[in-house]
Amino acid sequence: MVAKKSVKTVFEAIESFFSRPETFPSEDTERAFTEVSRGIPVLIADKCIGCSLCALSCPAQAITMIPGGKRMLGNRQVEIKNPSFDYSKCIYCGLCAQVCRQNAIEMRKNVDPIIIIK
Amino acid sequence: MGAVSLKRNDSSSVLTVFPESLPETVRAVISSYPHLVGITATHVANSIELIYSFDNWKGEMKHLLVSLPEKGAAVESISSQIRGAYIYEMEIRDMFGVSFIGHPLPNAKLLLPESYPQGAPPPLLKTVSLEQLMQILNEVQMQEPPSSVIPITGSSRYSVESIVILPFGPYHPALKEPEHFAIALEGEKIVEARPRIGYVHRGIEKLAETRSFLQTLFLVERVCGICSFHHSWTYTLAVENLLGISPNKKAEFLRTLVAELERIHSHSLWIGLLGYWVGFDSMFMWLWSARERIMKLLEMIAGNRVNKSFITIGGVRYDVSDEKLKVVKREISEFEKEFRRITEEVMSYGPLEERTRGIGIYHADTAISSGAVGPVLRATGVPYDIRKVEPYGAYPEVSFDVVTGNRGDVLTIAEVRVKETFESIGIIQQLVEKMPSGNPVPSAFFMGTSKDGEAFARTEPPRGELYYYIRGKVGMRNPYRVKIRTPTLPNLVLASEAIKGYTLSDVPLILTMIDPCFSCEDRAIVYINRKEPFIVKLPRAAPQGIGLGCSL
Ligand code: SF4
Ligand code: SF4
Repeated sequence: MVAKKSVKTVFEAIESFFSRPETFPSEDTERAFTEVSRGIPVLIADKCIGCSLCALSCPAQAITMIPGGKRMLGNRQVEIKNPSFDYSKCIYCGLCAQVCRQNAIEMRKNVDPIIIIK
Repeated sequence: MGAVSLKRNDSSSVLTVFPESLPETVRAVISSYPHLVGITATHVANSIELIYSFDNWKGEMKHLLVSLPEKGAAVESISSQIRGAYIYEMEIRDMFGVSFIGHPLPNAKLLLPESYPQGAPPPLLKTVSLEQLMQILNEVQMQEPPSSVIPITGSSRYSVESIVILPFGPYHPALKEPEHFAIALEGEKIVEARPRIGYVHRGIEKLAETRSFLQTLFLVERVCGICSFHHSWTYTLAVENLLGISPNKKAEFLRTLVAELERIHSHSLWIGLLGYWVGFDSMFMWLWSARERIMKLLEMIAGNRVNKSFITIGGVRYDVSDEKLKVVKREISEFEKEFRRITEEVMSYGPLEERTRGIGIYHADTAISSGAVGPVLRATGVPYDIRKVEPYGAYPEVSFDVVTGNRGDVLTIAEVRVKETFESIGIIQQLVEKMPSGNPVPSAFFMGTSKDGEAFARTEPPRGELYYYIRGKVGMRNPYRVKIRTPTLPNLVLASEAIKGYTLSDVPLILTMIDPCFSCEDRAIVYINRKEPFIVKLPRAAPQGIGLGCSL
């Protein structure tokens, strides 16, 4: 039993010597997003019709509707509002992207890390 | 099941009791319903309603309804009959201003800051607005540093020469989360310990009343950094019951899958921490690196590691494809191998056993009267598991055993948690096998209004029974009242019992035994941003480096 255990220990020691130390941070920690992360909400302004549904449903109240200029809706020109995200409040839940019927919000991962200075 | 609505006219489960006759009624009820699930207070019109909920270990509940006038609300304390009640009563005293006659700690606060003014209105009353509350807190915090700690054990009870009262915490190297214990020491031996929490209050119960049902879902998820999914699930169960919505079968399966993954990650985290507290750091690192596999699975399924935001009212937010389920299956069997190897190795390691065997011994009676739940209770042989007694989700469709131990101490609890992890692995394998087809994502998110009614729900998170009570008022977009009873609160009563007679050096170990998550209990004060008055900040993603529960 003891002999078997020590053989096992020797093998484990050799294995550990060549493998990646477990105390190192995993590779993922270097990156802001992994392939499976949810990403951050980004507005695609020309799809947005200013319905405010995203702002109403945002659980963190991170969305404010700001004037987004004039847009042609049907054959009328109207003043619309666009959502603006406060990334320091956002909890990155992705609900705004899911509720938007126009698909005007995209959860993006290929963005630079957002630096929040308050 | 899992969630039931409270029918006030159903006399078999709900009893309306006059305040004067509460003690006798409780005495009669606890002989057949020995487990006090919680005490819920609600402010309605000019009165404060208390609901005492009991369970008979079989999932049958008995609720006692007591209505008190708002002004000068007072009722007899039931803590002489059920010890654990004292901590629930303190919570209600702080939040609703109800006084409990004969309470063992008549003046101590549990959750509110010491500096909260005497005459100020209790925070959870409906007549107190968020703005008013912020003003009160702002003022007192400017006058008095909020960290002031008043030892809560009445010193007169002990003669000064032989007993030292040691303030332990709220910030202490041996504690990973801010909580305070007043520990009465005789030499090295602990004679008494009194907990005081509330240092990480975020006001979630009050805030929930100001947010829509859907927004509150994301809020309650942030009650705990480890059982985040269980909190959102329990809330959802209660809301679905209130509104009469039911999810489809695949949604139930996916919810159960995520919940069991959460149990595995929580238990392996705790077993790792046990190693850390006994000074066996390699054990800590092995288990946490094995746990990483589960965290990656959670991220793959839900898109987030910690606050998964996976569930929604009426279903789940994301479907899980068959490829992903295959990955789950593969990874979980890899994890099983790794976990088996590590736990076999560490649990048979002599020094670990020596350090944990016979530490913090307690009996089933103590556990029951403290109201303890979860592995802490099961370690004494009481097979109380909500997944079995009140099945919810997909639990009726899978087979698993309720793990129990035969004596309560640190080692037994560790063994119970190891075995439970294996049971969870088995559940996940069965769920992946039996996964039904269908679309679990509801076509629209619930954004409507509520109807009149009350519902409660219970689930079994890694730490034990979690209880939610929700009250709706017709036409309201927000819940009228959300009450959360987390498992750590009653378990804390047990830990402060179990600590007696041990030495100071055992304190961290015995406290860890219950897998405490103090941030779960701390929910009821408003968090203020001074620069922008009148804006309530939601707790964001788990703050880094605070607490066992939320350092992740
Ligand atoms: S982003 Fe979508 S939901 Fe938000 S205002 Fe624009 S159209 Fe409406
Ligand atoms: S991701 Fe969530 S928190 Fe962030 S803006 Fe969208 S809805 Fe709000």
